[in-house]
Amino acid sequence: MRHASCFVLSLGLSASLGLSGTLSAHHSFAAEFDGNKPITLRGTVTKVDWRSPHIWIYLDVKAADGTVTAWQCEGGAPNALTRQGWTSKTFTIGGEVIVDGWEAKDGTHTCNAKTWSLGDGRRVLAGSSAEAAK
Amino acid sequence: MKLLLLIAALAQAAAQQPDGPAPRAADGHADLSGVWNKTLVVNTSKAVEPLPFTPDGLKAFNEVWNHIDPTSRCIFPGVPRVNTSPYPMQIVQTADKVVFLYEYMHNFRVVYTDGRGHRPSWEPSLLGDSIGRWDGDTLVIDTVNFTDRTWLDDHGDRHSDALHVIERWRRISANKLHYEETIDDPKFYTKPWTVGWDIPIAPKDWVLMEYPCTDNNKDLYDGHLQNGPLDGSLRDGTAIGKPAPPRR
Repeated sequence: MRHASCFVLSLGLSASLGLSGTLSAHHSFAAEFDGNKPITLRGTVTKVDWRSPHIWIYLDVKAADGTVTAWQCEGGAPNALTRQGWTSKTFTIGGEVIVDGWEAKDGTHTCNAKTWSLGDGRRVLAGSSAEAAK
Repeated sequence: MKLLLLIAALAQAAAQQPDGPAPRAADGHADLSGVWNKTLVVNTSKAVEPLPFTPDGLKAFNEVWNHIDPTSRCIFPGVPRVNTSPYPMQIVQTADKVVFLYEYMHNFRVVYTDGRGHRPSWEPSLLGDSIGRWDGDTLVIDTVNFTDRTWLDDHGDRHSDALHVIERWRRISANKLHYEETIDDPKFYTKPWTVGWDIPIAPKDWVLMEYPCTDNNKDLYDGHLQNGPLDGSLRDGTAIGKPAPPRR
């Protein structure tokens, strides 16, 4: 519930800023990712690539049987996220992250993130390229 | 966290500038200078559809799924798409020119308003050759000499190398620009078409940031890019897949 209320507040803040910058408009979400395949990943951050045109967060996801799978997830543009107050230091290497997003169509362990939830409960809006699909 | 967000929201609200009449430059023209929070316009032609296609124009529109959007490969959006791409722009106006600085892909345009004509000998380019003039308080920009390598928008509207764009920029108040673009392309459209919208000024503390599109275009480097318009629209009016939940 705490997550949900923070998320709503975040949305309100974005709206108050008139943030066009949460959009991506760089490549086609619809062609590259599958809007019918939402996914939630819980893992630990192994690498943060805070660069244009989109940030990429790499994470290790451990399954119930103990096997670990490396995933890579695409987020929003650094400028959009920076204007919302987020930085690369928002993510901690080795820290917990929960990604809500959509799987890539090509079957690789790649996703397009809608939101990132951090171990302390904060939710980072991804500003994902899914926005461009509207 | 809630408190922090609330404080941030209040700070942003305080950063908004009170509206009033458009300021004037020393030469008497309306002054367009400022940082403007232009927004992404996905389908610029929506208000005037159906477009007056020529056979070649319709063919190009329908075969958009055979191509990757050029901006996905970090090719400049070109004119007029640079005006409808996301992220702010800054206008710097002087007596003989108006300079447009676009955050998106670090594009810039220096539009002279000193009466000069188009350059006769330059090669066609992505942004074309722009000259400006004042029509009262409206800046009118005439742009020609394009390649056909850019698209008009995220919807995959297309243009040929015969494109001629007329932009009309008017500051209707201190905090608002009105923008119009006329697409005149006799190879692809049987008659010119015009669309327009308002662009709000950015919060007072906003400055342009960098957007180095080629820094980590992982989608391109990893071969993930696929053909089609960014909005995923098919040419039968539908869209592929389910749109992701809106979050604007």
